Amino acid sequence: MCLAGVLALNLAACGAKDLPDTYAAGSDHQYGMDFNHMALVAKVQTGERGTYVLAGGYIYLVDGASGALVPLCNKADCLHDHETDARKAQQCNASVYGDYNDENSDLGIQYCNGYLYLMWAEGYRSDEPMVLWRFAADGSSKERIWTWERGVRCYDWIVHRDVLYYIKEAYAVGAEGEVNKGISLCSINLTGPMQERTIREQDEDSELVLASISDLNAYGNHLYFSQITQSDLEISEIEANMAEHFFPAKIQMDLTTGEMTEIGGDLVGPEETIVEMVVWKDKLLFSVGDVWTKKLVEEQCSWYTADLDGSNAEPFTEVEIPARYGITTEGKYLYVNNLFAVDYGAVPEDEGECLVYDQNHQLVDTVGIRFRHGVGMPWTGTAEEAFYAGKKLDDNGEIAAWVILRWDKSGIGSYQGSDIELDELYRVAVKN
Amino acid sequence: MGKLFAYEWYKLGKRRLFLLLAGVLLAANIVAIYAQEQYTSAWFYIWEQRENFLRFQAGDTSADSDHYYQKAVDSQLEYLDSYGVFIGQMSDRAEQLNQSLLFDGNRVFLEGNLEKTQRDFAPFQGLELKVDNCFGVAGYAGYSTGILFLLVFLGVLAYYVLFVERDAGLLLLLKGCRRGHTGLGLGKLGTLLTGAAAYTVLQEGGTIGFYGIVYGYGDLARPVQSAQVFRNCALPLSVGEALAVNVLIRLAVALFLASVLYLGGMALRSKSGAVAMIGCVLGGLWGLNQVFTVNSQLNWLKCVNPFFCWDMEQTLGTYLNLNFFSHPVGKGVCAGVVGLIAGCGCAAMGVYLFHRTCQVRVKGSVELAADWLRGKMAWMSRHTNLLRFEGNKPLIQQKKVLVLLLLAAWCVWSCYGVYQPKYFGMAEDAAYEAYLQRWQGKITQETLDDIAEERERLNGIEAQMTQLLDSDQPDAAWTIKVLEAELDMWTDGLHRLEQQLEGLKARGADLFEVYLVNELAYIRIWRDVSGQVREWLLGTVMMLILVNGLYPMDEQRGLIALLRSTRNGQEKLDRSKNIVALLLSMAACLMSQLPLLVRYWEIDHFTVAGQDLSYLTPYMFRSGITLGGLLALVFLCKLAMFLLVGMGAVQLSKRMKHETLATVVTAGVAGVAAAVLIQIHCDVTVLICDLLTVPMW
Repeated sequence: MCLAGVLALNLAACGAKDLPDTYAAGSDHQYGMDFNHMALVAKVQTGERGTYVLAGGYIYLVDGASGALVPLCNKADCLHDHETDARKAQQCNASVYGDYNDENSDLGIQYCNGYLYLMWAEGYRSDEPMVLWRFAADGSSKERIWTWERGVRCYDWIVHRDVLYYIKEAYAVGAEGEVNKGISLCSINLTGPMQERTIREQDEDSELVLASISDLNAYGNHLYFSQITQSDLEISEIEANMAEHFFPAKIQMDLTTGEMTEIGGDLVGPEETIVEMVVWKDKLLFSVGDVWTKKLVEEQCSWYTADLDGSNAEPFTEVEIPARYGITTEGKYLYVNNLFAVDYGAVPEDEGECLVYDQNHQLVDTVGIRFRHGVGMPWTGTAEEAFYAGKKLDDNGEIAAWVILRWDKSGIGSYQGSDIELDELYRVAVKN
Repeated sequence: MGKLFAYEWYKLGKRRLFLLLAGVLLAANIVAIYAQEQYTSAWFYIWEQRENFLRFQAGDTSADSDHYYQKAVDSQLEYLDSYGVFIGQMSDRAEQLNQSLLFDGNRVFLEGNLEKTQRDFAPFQGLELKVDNCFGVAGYAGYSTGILFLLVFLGVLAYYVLFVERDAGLLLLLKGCRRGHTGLGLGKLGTLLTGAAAYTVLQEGGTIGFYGIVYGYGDLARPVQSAQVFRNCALPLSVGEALAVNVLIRLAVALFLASVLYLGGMALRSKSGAVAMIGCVLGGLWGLNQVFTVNSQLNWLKCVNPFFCWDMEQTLGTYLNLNFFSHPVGKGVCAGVVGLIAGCGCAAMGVYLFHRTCQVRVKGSVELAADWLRGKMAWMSRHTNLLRFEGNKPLIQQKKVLVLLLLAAWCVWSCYGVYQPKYFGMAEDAAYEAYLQRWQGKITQETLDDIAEERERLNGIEAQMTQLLDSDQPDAAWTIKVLEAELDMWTDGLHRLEQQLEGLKARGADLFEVYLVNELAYIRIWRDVSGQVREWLLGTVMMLILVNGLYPMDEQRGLIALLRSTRNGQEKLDRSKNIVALLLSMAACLMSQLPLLVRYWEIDHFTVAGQDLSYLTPYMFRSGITLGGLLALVFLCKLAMFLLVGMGAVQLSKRMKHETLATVVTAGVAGVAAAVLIQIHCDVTVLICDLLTVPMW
């Protein structure tokens, strides 16, 4: 591990120093404008050469206009995804060693400055330690650059400006035979000497217990995450309504100073939290609702805009967001959609739709999304195209296949209520 | 120079011990292959069921009762089809890569690499592969432990060629002569190189012969690509030629290593310094080979590594071009050029150093100062007790107390590590551990009541949660979350514990007569074979360093001849030396095994030592022996092994009369044994557990 750290120092591309407090393509976390996606399951990333997709245990580059999937391996003497010999498959630079057809292998990739990163463990149940892999974006190499100690599991993770941020979780048995669940938010610099640094963990002096950290995200010089703290109660002390003992919060950390602030402040009432949050025109745009997203699904959330550090919050009035609608964006368009409510059955499937607004907050199109919602909506990608890589459900709600779909966004403006058209780039049936 | 070279060999020929050791190493190599192969399915079906195999080859399919041979044939047929795709579609794959955005930017190396790959594989278009017996060639390609035996042999050879005369002070004569410095240096180099070459040829001949006899190679004239492991081989070789080429490659590796040892021996006048430096260089090369893969950015560090080049699967079965100033150069060429330059450089530098110094030992100012200090402090070590004096010699005079302190420091560090926080990836494992901390030990009615109470508590929480879920209370979400978290934390761990109790009942145990044991913790230790073998190796090597100098030290000082003249004196001296050797062996054993003992202690403080092994539910042990008995047996066996190895090494060093030689040989054998044990996943604990397991048939 130490050796890998020293090598990383030698191999590193330019660092994240002196980057502006806005989105820097190539080095920044790519869902920085859409905080509703977990990085852990990010299957699509955009690099200098194009879009990379993780599917079927291999990483592919979606090749330009043709849309052909090219395995991320620059060797002609390699069968890539057609390899049948397991040992030779490991030598393919595009192979991630995981079986994507396995329901448990919920892997994701992250692009940063010429490399793709992937966090992986030999099976969720196994004792094997988790490993961070690095793949060269030109398919010339892959190598493991960090190995965690046994028993430690890393869940949500992102790579932002050459730094890995991740949520670490481990169970330990206390001195009095109690089981303690340790949660912490940590980081590792990927370009200098690699060393783990803890950003947020249980404060020993605090009366509150850090119950969870999630929804890791970053934009510009800011790191965002959700946390829930709770009163330190025995199970025998629980009551019918425990809401007053839980304190959910959305936290912003300034990456230049390390200062943390809570977003929303007084706008977030008791038993309320920030439900959805995106960055729109270099400002935060977020909704306040209940923790269980009931308001988002069934009622009307309140929408606010604020500076990137959460200050100067004020109501968002430029676009009227209807009840049961949420938002997402890739920076160019603001997509106001009801797919979350469709997912929860609060809106019929054939009423799924997306209202597309431009930078001037003008409604430019309405896209119908009335196919069976087993493949999600391809939001992620660039302003020109978006991809969905994931599972396709059959009529019984079972996983039928793993697919990669592409949405060519040049059609925005011409849908006018008609259904979205997606190109299927890849499909592999799920093994029984 | 020719005469000097011949005379060096003549001297070696006179060393019966050297010849004996070479023979032992060659035999040990065959034993190591046997140890590796005996657990494979191929060994069972091809060697032990040889008649069936031969009948199947003759066309009698009824001989293949388990369909093993047919599966091997089918697998080969499938591979032959895929080889056609591999070669036939190579240009398509290259074209796709060439036109893809993957090659956007700096294309010089990437395009060149693609062209070279296609060019190198072009001759194999339409190559006719043949289904035949691939067990021999695949087995031979997969065996690479032989390099360890070669290193031990080179250590012994280097000792005889480089150190014996130097230790005897004979090279001082040469220093005064005007001529002969370079000639003798070259003669010694030639002896090392030819010795390395001869041993390699003999060892590889034995290895190839062994695999040939056991598995067979099939038609030696068929292309080597017929074996799947060599699909990516871009050399037009038959199986027979591939075996020959591999021997040549290993010969080159052996010559390179001999050159490195030669330089190490010539560069440092201190024997222990030379051994330490060579050990560091070889350890570093081994480490680099382990750390990097052929997919790494720094894969060139792996490809030019002698440990990589020794591996036939990698050298002939892997195709790779390295980026040499944007030009693709085959890994074999790179390794050859680097090896040639480095090997020649080492050899030339060694000859030059010998020419300059003739390896005559000159004390530096530090050593002179140390001697002066020792003289002044001599009154402290004037012992009349023979045992104390014999102990003083290796520990104080030879400064080996440092080795003991090093081992003690490692022991303390390892024991400290046992008490560091333990993490579990799953709540189930942590809960099981927590329950065991509470209830492990003799099962009582109170234990069973507590477990039942805990089950009741969890059932109560589950019922409460179900009630809240059914009631659809709007404010109950947080409460449900708390209850759910509590259940997630404990349920599976308790279930595992209950399964253990069920397992005990199923084996007919009277629950109040048996113990609740943290079985997972014991399994975790027993499965860590490589960790335990490494600890054993560390302790053994340290012990060998400590005890191997006891006799040779007096031999080299010429005192033994004097002592032999007094029969009583010699007996007492030998007894004292042997007692010191025993004590040092026990100390090394204690320090290297103490962390393991602490790990066992930390599980349950041996409170469940009385558990009959047949009541360990994950295993099918015979009854009649307790868990404590098993652990005592394990540690007694380990102690016996240390004492046996220690006393054996003392006797060997007494016969050899050379400390360094004895240490190189015994430590080398221990290293090889450890490598084989790790490979076959076997150690004392596993062996004893296997012996105590009830056979399944």
